[in-house]
Amino acid sequence: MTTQTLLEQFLKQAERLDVAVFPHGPTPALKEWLDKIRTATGFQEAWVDPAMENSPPFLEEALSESGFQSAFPLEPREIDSSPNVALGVARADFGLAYSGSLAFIKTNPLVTLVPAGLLVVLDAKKILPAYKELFLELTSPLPAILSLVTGPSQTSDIEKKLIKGVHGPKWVAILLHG
Amino acid sequence: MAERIGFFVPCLIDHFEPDVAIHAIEVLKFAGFVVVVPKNQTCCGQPWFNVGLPKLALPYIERFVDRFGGLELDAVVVPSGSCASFLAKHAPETAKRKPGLYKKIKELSAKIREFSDLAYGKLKDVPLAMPRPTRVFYHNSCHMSRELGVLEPPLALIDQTGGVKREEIPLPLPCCGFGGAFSTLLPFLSYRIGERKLEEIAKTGAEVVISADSGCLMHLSSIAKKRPSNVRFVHLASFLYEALPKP
Amino acid sequence: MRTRFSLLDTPSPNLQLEANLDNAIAHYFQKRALTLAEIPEYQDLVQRARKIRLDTLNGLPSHLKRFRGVLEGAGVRVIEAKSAEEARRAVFDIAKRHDVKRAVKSKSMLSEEVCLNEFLEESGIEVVETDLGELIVQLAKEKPSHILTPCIHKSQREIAELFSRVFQRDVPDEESAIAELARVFLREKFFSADMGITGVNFGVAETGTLAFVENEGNLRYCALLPRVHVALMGIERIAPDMESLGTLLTVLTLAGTGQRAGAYTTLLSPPEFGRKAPEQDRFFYLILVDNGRSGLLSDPKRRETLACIRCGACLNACVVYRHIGGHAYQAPYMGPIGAILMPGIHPKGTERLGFFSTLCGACREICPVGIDIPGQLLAVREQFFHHAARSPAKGVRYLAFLLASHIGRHPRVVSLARRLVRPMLAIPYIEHVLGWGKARDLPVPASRSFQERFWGDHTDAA
Repeated sequence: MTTQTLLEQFLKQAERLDVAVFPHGPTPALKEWLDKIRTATGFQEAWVDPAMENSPPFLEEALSESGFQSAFPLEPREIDSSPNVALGVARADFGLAYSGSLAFIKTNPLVTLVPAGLLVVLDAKKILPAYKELFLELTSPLPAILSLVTGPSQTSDIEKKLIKGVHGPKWVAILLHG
Repeated sequence: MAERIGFFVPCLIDHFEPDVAIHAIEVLKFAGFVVVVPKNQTCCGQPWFNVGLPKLALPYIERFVDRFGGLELDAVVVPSGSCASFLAKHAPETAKRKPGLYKKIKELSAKIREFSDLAYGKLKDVPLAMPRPTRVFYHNSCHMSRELGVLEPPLALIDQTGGVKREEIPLPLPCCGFGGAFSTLLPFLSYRIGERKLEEIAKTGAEVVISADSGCLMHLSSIAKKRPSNVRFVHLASFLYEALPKP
Repeated sequence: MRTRFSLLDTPSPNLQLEANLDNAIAHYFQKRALTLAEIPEYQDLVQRARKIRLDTLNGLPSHLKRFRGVLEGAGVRVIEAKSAEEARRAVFDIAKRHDVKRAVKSKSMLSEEVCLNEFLEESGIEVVETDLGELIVQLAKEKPSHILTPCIHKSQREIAELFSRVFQRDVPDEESAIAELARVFLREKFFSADMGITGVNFGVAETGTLAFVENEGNLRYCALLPRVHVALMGIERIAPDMESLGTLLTVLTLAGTGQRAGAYTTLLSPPEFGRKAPEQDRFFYLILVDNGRSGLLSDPKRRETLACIRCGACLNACVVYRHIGGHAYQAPYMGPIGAILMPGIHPKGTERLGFFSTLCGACREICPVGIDIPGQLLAVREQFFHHAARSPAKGVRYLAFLLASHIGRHPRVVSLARRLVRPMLAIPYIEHVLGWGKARDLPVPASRSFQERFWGDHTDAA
């Protein structure tokens, strides 16, 4: 499969999952999305994953423009007992075309779990077909944690109605580059 | 040369709805088969197999072999999906419990054909028609479709019949709740499942429920008789008999 | 030995339960159909998954040995529990060792199987279920009624009323309000718990990796936040390698919820299992539970039952389950899979579950690993009658079927019986005596059978 086909399939699944995809840069759509989360949660705190190298400068600007105060996450046990975090920002190592999943290898898993919104930076060239190809990319020993995020946190436990944002992020967006 | 087929009469038809067997034979004759009816047939043994007492099914398999073996038949036709699936799919495995029986039943098993499946091959170009416009619902037998894989022939036969409109349930509760031994061990639950199936069927406005399984039909009609309903329950063989071109 | 069939067989059906199940299951089938319509190769995937599961079970001892070897080589604490008692005890010992006051727990059918919650709570440890559905049944002091959707038997209104009562506030009849209340309640528990208890979806023999699938995110909290993480895994839940894991994960969510992937798939690998080693105050334990599985495994005819990956699809497809719900099974596993698994791992009082089926085959058709559930049900029914003489309830049933089989063998006796029965049906209220007729109009036998009509009355002439 060509990179283009994989990207198209990935975007189709992302759309099904209600995951917003923005181009890698300062856009009005990104600002609108950030503002929405800032307003809906009423929280200011944003966690930017420490493993995220070369955090793009425009992102820091966009965050502060929307009124977020970014901080690096602490070790889990040092986290306040009820952290009110509006946004998590992390770089995904891979995307999966089959399911629209985002794979994180080095990211602290709490960055993609605790906040109400999740913004993920993804390289379009890093989209793989499915699990099989992802597992082939992993080298031995396997990462202590391989975390796959596929859309917002959800449940259908009440009358099979879809509820988003149960324990994890309610909103997920991707900044796609390359 | 015309195909010679043996006719197996399911016990529910034999003792409760004998007309169905007569109709089935007439339809098969019309289709050009030479129909042989061996004497002294019994139940196929499925009830004991299904209840978990396969050894008690062995005498029935033996009788089946005794009645149908050596008749040089091209096929053995069974006008009930569930019995056909037992004889075709489960009787050989069950027969392994008795030395020598497996080999005999295996050969006959391969010749088992469900009634509608066999009839369809010969009737698909025949102009079938009902005397008056009828709205029907076809109740699919689980064993017939899932074990034998016979799903299309009865539908095609009904659909090709002039004057017939076939109604369907959007998301069907597939099973009618009969289940043989199930209906004797859990009679109310079995009844309730059937009752709800009938409610679904009633919503379609069908006046006639057709099935090719005598067990499902008896179960559903016995429930329907307890409630005000004008729905008729008809075996596919009787339906086709009525729809055959009149001479 | 409980052999009462009438337990759930009542003349008055539970209409509210039927409606709740209908509604939820219709949603499931819609979602599933939408997803599978775009995956034409689904049946091939099922066949692959089936082969993986059956091959794995056929060589389970060596896969388990390899799995344990990798884990122990990495210094992971693996505890083998032969029985439910040993499993409970192991968790309790760990809790004591680490001075655990509060445990948060993600959904685990295995923990229900070994009655973990009751045991820990009796020992003074607070256990909080964190899957929304599990929390609902825990607060209602009930048991899960579905493998995947524990509170499937409850309507939203019933849940809102429950929450209003438990949290002593007015909870509106809105799904988002209920979920938000649970989120806030549980978040505090996650951050204050000393121990997280989870199940395991699959353990990979080749790498020692443990795979977890969920949609809410609660499992991740349970596995990663508390000081201690205890994972309970049935010995049969092995995937030989990462490639087969991929196939199994794919069919698991497609069949279970009609999703291509769960919202969160977490793969933890040794030696750290997501916990930053070598910090000394963070611990991981794996408890490998047998609890009767070895018995099933050693029976080639029944081994297939262990291929189950707990997707819950067979419950949704089962016409019996859809009318009675999970509680009627009175067992941790319900529906078709419960009816074949329970009598295998815990025969006492559960063999009757083999009869909770019309053998319609919808379960086999929907199973993502193609388990011949009707075939296994027949084996359970045989098992039921195996020691029929020891139980009056079984013995009576056996004799009835034996008698019927003797009558049915002889065409003349059958005809005689038919002639005797015909006039009896005219006796008032006779249908109340005959079980089948209690709810039906008994079908009336024909005056002459087909064979008598076809050959004349003297059928024995030939």
